[in-house]
Amino acid sequence: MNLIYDEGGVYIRNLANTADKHGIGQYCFARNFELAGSGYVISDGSAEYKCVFINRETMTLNDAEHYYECLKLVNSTYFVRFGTDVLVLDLEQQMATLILNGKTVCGVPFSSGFRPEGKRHTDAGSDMVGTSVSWVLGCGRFVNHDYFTEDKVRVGWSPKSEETEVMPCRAVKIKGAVYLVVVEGGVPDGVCAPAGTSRVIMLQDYDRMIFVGCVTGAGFDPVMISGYARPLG
Amino acid sequence: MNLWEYPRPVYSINQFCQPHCSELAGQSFFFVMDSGYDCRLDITGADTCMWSIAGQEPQEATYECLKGDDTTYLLDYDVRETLGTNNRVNHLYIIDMEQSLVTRLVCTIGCNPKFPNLVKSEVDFGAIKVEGKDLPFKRHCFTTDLLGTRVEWHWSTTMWTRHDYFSTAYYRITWPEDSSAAKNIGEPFLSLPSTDERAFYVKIKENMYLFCLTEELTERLLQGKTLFCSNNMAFLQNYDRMYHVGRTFGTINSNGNLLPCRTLFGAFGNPVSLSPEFLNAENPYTV
Repeated sequence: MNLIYDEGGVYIRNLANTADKHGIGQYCFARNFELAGSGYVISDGSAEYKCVFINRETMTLNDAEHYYECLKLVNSTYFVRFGTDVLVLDLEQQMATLILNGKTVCGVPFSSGFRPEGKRHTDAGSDMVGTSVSWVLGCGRFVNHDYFTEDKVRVGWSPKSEETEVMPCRAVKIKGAVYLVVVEGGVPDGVCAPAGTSRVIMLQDYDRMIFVGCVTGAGFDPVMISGYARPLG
Repeated sequence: MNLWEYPRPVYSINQFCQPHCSELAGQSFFFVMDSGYDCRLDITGADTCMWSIAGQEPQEATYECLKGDDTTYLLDYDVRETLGTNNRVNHLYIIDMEQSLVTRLVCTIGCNPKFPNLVKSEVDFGAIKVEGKDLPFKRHCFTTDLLGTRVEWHWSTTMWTRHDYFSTAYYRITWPEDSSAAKNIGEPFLSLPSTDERAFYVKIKENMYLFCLTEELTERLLQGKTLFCSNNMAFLQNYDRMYHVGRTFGTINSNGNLLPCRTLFGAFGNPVSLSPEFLNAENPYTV
């Protein structure tokens, strides 16, 4: 309990706290269970990925079982992490993007025998170039992103956000103002991201200026993240 | 392009709102309420439900649902037969699947003959009947836990406000000068003796609370002169993660036209230091 003294020397409670125990996962939304019980085959034209959400925590991808966590960003658009891989399922547009072993696969999900020749999510191209934003993950915990080319982002993590590093990144346009961004690379010592971080995947909504995502790397369990944006600088 | 400049619609307190949750679709609940007015709630679809109180005929409604944590839901709907009338009614439930408990908030407009826009709020506590399980004895409950809490809520990229929970029946609000709250909601308060408003606090579980305010004092003193006319705001606050989700229910004054106001919202919080002058000011609405 966060207690402070008042002027009379009496302890009074203050439930407001910095939730340090959650680290960069502090503002993570509640998990979403809407996909439980559903299944899709995701086809990119050359390969098919059979994805079944058995229950709220277990899924299979091509019959391999995984623990999964799902966050919902906007209506009918889900960010699913299983292991260090990610599926963005966009049921509104009937599109899906997988990030498997670091490789991006944009495909079409279908759940019956009908195999649609649908559109797919596409590379964001230069959409994000010039975007500077600070993503707030918790109290005093944030990461600054400055997308200065199509495949490079300048990254600074709190509390050493002035110590920026240029990282490779790639972005997929999901729809409207929603982008899936993958930033590869490590983090300096002494920042709010876990030591050993090697990849940050974020589903960013530049309309509502909120995001969901995950941080993965060596030596720690993947961390699910959510939060909001504030102007950089 | 700098996506910060994305041509987004104008958001107020709803920009950082979490998405509607439809995972309760297909579930049926029977709420055993302390008032004796038990309630059945069938979630028939992604945003449709059937509800009935005390064995009355079921009625259809369009619901909205947000999550406070993995197992706690804020679900609300307007009573369809009251839409378009001056006596709108909204039912809000905090459905706590972890403890099999429920809190029902019934908000009604039009009960006060002098102030027709005022929202009357009635709280009822109960338990969720679960097949094969005894009903729990414990309940969500009114609480003093939040007294002493001061928190800054970030509602959008431009608006943040600061709350002081200093009384079981009131709360106090302020904002820094660089928040758009100064421009968007601040003006009416200049005509009032303070920013204190009527509120109550319910404990849902450890670190989770229902904070509920009604802009009643503003409405009584400035009837018809404010943008928002006696909105009821219900916040499901998660102090483990420091965010909240919620909804408003009331009336908005759009250039003299009184229109229904019902908005979902959400915000991210952090601790804040407030000035002694603000914290120690008398509540001018109490003896």
